[in-house]
Amino acid sequence: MDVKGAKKVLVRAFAIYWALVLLIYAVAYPQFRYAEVNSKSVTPSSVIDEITDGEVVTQEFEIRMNRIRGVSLFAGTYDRVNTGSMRIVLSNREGTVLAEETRDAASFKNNAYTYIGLKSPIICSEMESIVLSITTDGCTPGNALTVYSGVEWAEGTPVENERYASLNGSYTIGRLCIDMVGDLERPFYILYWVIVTGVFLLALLLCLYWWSKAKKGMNNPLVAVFTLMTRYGLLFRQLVSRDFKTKYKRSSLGLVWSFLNPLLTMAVQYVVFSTLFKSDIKNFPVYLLTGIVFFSFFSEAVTLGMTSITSNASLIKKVYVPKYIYPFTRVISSLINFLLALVPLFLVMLVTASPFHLSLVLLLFDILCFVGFIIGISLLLTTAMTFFQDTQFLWNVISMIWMYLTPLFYPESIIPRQIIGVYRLNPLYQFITFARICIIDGISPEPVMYLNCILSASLFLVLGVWVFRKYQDRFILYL
Amino acid sequence: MYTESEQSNQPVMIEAKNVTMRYRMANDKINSLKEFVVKKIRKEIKYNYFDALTNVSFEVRKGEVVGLIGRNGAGKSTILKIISGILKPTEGSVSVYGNVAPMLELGSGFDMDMNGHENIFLNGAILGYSEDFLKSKYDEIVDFSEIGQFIDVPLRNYSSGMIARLAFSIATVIKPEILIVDEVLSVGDIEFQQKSFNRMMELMSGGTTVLFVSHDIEQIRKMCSRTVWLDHGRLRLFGNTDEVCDAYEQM
Repeated sequence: MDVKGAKKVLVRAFAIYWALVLLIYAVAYPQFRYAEVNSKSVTPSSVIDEITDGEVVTQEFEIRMNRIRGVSLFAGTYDRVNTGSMRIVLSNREGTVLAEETRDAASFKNNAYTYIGLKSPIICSEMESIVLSITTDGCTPGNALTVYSGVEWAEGTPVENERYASLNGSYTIGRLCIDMVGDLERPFYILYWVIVTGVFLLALLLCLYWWSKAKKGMNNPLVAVFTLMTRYGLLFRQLVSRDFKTKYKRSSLGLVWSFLNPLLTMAVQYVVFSTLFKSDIKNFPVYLLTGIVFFSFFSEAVTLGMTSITSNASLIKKVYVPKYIYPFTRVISSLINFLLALVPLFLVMLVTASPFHLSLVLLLFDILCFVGFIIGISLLLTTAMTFFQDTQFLWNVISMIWMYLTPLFYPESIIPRQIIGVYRLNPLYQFITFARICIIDGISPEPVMYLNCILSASLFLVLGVWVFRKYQDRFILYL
Repeated sequence: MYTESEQSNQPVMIEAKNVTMRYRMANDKINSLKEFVVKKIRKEIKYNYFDALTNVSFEVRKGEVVGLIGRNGAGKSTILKIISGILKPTEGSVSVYGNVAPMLELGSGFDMDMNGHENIFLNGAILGYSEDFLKSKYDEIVDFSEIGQFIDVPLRNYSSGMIARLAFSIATVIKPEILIVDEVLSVGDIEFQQKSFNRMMELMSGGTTVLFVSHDIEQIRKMCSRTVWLDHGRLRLFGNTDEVCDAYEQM
């Protein structure tokens, strides 16, 4: 084994690991430290009546968050454009005013939630009572807003009487439909370091253990990987470049197809689905294109990967090359294609004037996990394909079903609530949603989504490698 | 080449121990999932076993040129495939100490849509050469193959002789520790055959261990020190070339 080269590779791998760890932490820190919370709201059932000048509506809230960023209020405008303004005051039980916001009556939506952000967030200790009061200015009967109230929580349990809202000092028969939006601190930002350091130490220990074994001349995975990299590194590069050269060899537009393909698909889907789903989705073109680019990477890589053994049969029968290399190179050449397809995605972001957030760098993590997942699936299907040629046709059907089960062109909200838990088990859903949060929302996804991505990737990768390893010696008998 | 007593002190390069290769043949080749499930349920799958090799043992020492003879279907190609790592034996083991250059069916790693230049790198990579090595030997490969100006033409426009010549040049540019030769000396025209024969001799005299398969007994006698005779998958004789060849010819 080339000791110097091996050391260099290991050091580089660990450097990349820490770079990624730091990068993720730097970008995702706000989401790692604070969880966005929404205080429970009641189901709107009745209105308080017009709130005119001189009237005061108050409501006490028990909140569990470390800072309040805003309130979301279910108002009614009686379907007319009202003049005047509404003032919202947040104070504590002792009467100290914590925040104050005034909004034009015209800016409220009818029979829907309107979000009012605070100029500066209120910092509070975890359990606290906040009193919210609403007054108006310039609102007269016939030209005033109302707020909804309800007597049941969203889950259907009734509200206790003493927590009802009051109108001019006397209790009404319901609770205001107002959400407090804010953040709750959680210990994940500390846990993160524990996890990443733990993983690092574990990997380091494993490497040292293998290293000592390698010195004694014993075979182990570390040595195997290095031998592969040094001996078959060139073959790997040659096969990837061959895939690329042959793909565009006889096409006049060549590489341009990599850009054009997702754009054209997006254009078609945009025309077809925009009237159906556009209003439910923020930045529909970017939403669509993200889904398309990610899904076509998946389907292209798996379709190419699964035939890699059968189509290289003549070679496999004659020369010994580790068989992993065939599906692996197919996935990597699709990855390059996918990275090219990100260019039109960024172009569309430019054209639709969507901001480029720092959270885009989190895509690195997402793509890394995605590639692992795809390699796993490819290895599984390659194995199946080698023994049963009709796997290919079966896969065509499965990938189509899978496409419809993934929110590529429709919003997740059309899925019935009862099955959403099962629906979200789809690994593709996890990877694509992760990407959309980074690209469109501009924030880091919740920590649990990182876990989901890692789990889906490692589960399929381990399964794929295990199955492939188990059957690879028998491939040749079926080619 | 070493004398016989010197030879037996050389380290073992290839060691085949009780190698048995058993193929399982379904009565009908099943290659679809549907067929498999249907036949499995009906219990229609019957397997026949066929032993291509039975309990074959021999060893090849460093610097030796060992011949491998036998009738068609005796298992010569199977044992070569096992040695080069393509097949795994059902029972027994083959240990190979050193890098193997397989010269089984030349040119199988070529891509017909790519030109000669690209194919030299692709095929070289398949044989496990490094990039630097290929770059330094590039001219030598092109010269030896006599391809000349056609090196930039896609391989689908080559004649079969040109392809074979290019393949041979790539395969023999390296000085491998173990060379496996499966009747490749019939490449190209007479002139090129002579050239390639010389190249082979050159490799063999340079300390490379060679496993040589041929139906041409005269060639075996000329080149090999020891010979393995396989007969219906069994090791019939293994030893001094002349003795084995005499016995083989008396059959």
